[in-house]
Amino acid sequence: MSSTLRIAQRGSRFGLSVCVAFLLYGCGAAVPPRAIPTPDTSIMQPAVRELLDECRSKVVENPESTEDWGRYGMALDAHSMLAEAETCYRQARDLEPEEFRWSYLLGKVLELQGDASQEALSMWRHAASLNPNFAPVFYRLGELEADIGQLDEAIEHLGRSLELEPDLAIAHRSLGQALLQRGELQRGIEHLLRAESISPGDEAVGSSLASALARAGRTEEAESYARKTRTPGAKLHLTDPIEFEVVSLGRSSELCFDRGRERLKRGEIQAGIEDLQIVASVRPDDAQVHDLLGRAYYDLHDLPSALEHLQRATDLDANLATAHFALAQTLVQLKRMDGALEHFRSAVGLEPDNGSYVAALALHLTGIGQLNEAASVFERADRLDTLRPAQLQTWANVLLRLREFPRAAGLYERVLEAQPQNADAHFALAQALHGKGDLEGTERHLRAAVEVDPNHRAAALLRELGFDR
Amino acid sequence: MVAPDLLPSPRLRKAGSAVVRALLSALLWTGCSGQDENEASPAEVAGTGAAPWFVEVDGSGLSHRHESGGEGQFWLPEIMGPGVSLFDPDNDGDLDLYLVNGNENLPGVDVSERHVNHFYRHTSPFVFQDETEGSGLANGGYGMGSAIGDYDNDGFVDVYVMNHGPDALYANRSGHSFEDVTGSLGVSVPGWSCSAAFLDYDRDGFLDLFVTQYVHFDPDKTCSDRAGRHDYCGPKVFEPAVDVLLRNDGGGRMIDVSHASGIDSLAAAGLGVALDDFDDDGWIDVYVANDGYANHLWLNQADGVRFEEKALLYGLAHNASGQAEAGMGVVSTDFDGDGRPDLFVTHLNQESNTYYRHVQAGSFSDATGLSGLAANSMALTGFGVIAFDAELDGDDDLFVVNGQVARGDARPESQLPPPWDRYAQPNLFYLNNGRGIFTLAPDEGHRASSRVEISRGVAMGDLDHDGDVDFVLTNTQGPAHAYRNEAPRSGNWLLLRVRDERLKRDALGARVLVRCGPRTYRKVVNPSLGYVSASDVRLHFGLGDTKAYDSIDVRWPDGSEERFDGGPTDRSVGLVRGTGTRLP
Repeated sequence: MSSTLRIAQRGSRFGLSVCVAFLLYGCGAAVPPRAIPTPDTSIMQPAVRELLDECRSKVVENPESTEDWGRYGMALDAHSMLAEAETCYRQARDLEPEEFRWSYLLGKVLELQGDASQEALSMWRHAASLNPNFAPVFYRLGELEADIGQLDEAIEHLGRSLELEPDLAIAHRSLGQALLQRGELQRGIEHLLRAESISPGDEAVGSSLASALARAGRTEEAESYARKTRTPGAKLHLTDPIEFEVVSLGRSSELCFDRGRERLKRGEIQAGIEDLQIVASVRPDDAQVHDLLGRAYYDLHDLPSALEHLQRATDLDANLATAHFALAQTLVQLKRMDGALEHFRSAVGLEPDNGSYVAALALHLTGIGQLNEAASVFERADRLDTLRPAQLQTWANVLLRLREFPRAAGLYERVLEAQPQNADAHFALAQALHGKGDLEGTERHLRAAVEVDPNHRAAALLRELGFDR
Repeated sequence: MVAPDLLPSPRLRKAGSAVVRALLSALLWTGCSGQDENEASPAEVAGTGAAPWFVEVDGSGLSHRHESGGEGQFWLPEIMGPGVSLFDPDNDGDLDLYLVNGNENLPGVDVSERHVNHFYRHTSPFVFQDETEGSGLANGGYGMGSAIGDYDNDGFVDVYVMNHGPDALYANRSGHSFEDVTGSLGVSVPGWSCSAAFLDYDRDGFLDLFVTQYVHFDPDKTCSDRAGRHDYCGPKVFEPAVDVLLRNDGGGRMIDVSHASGIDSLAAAGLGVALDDFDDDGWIDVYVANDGYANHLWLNQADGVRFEEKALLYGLAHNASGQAEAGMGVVSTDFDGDGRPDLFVTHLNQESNTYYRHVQAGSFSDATGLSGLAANSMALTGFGVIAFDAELDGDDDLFVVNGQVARGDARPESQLPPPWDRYAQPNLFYLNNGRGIFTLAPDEGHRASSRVEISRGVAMGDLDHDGDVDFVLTNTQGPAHAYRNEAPRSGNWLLLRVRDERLKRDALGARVLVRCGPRTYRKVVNPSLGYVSASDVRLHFGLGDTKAYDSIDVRWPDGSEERFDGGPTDRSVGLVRGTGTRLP
């Protein structure tokens, strides 16, 4: 059967069902139910099976319940059973034609199945008429229209989404791209630059800008975006509460892993842990999952759980630098310093150019009194250009204790360049200068410390050294 | 002057009559030729005819069946092959066939069930005879596809086999047998090779070889679909690989110059490869379709050594949405008749295939939606693709073969057993209106086959010497099929063989312009088309109602140009270097 025939048949089925629904409603009669989808759940993961069986049972019990049909559709949709989800959404829509969610979600699964874009568009147009202030539906309309070459309509709908949400970066991106396709180079570039200014670093924005600017003859700018695009950055997302509801129903390890990781990134630690625990129950030997769980528990200060998962992660995959590093931090919190050192070393060994790891190793070595090695590791971290002023100051303190006064003095001066009101740095620099025999400098920095903090112990040293006379 | 036809007199004659064709033409061919883009919505199916345009040939003798080795492990290589090559190893004018197979190199496949690649000799119209035994071509690696080129300039084309595992190069010994020269030439490509193409990038007269590399497959990594059902992993689960460029030193060595050329500076999951002169500087360039990563455009730096990657600036890295897609197969040709090469890349379902139109020097634009190629490909996963003028109306049409790589709904029309029925998909055939606007061909024609299988490779050539293009396609875990072109004709044709006799071989990389009044047709000699496959090296042009062409210009791979006199159409013509008029 040709795809057009399929579309036509589906379209006529759809048209017929809408007419029937309309007539029945007009007469006050019930909508005849469709066959309830019955996917083979026996080969699915237990959590998925449980959810789908539960949702299906509710539909069986309440075949007139729009919400139950809709929720079953969403559960199927969440697990990419699109044809089955389509059936449920159609039924929910027939039962409650004025509820925009069903048209909206039906449009989405039709689009995802790929061979019914015209019907998807008509669903979304209907949803937009029911909820004209919902920006995501205009965004989706515009995106699909652009994909299939209906550029005028795409530009109109993307523009509408921006009227509703002027800072919707993803819509600026799509509008810019649609304008480029229509040959409007300058306007396209403007919207892409707007997307970039709202949320910098999106790869798709960078890519479109690179090729558009090159076409416009702005070669230098184009090459700059091309270089940036080589490094993956943040990705723009559509904030869509309806889709969020669907995604939240995902129970498979794959979905829970993706969602859990996203939740952790957004700081929703507890919710992220719940997702990842589901994954761990299905994939108990997945080092990455234990790594993520361990780091999440560390963020919650649940150190015993963090320790358990991070140890498991490093046992399963000795090359997981993030797990070694987090395990070292956990062990430090638990005052198990020797064990921590081993894992800091492992993390640095695996990622020798990771400045954060190198700096943390240096600080740990300082903390456990291995000053000579700490000094050399600090030097390595400094070459990676990652030391913050406080870390520079610790390094300088190490050198001071090692009586390397000139190098220590140089580092304190770097700290004071960044933090001129740092009384402790002035005080320590005075000590380093004193060690070098620079009494004038010593006095100057002791006085500077006291000036910043009149109660600083530098005042006592000023007196002790006779500088107060 | 035009050299005499290099081909022997056609001894293969196509079954079927002009009467039948004329009837079909009258029945079907209404409103397709010369169609204005306003006349029909490009996404719709054109016409209402019922007869298939491409007829599967029964009794072709193609007993070969691809064995993926898949037994429920869901190892990615199982679902990625195989390809096919149509070539003329004995120079008798008939296109023979090479089909690769899966094998025991994949972990867990029973070694006792050994499957080898097959070589078929074309003995009479659409009849093939298995001559694998004794040919020397029974490679036992886990095959992806093959590439064709005469690496040693001895007048007989050689065969390069791309494997998951070590590749192999077979030297053609006078057309009767092949010898594995992989070791003696120093060819060492041990990874997961997919497509490959011969090219003379350094203009030394010897064919070099570009090989795409996919990923570093790890059988210990397993994946599930979103419902938690075991399924094939996507490429991003594995480490991406860097492509390989082998330089032929002409002295019997193939040297890996991937590093010196800059090709190894970017890792991605490379699948399809297209060769053309994308910046029109006279040096052959390389375009790679990557799966899930930005595509690569390697521009030849015209120094015989280096390539630079410029896909982003050319608008060829991502689609119009700025997204990297799952690039599989790719073809380069001038779809819109503006004299510049365009590109068409096949993709995963939920992505459309993508048509990159060459809009100005150094710039391409994703014109997929505007060209009618988006909506009808979104439900399908495209792999192999060929561009040819099916009905001879003067433009290149598109045939795309499809098959999923991730579990889908079972297709009742597929005759494959579970779980393969969930990966099977129909194929698609699009008609071009001459300006790069496409419509699906009428009814049965638009699939170009009644079967619904997991199709991967497709290679084209005039198998019956009747002036139109036929093809052979391959399937994962299934047989290969040969199809005879029965599309209603609406014009004339020309088949060109472009030779450099000093090198005793076809001039791979030569750009050919056929001039017919105000219209110029452009193609580049390159048999490596689509996905892991090789087509007939000859260039086939559909010329519409043109009865005679004015001239043919050839830009040879070394940059020199030559003009050949015009002549009548509907014939094969040999263009031999040095027999035309040299252009300044």
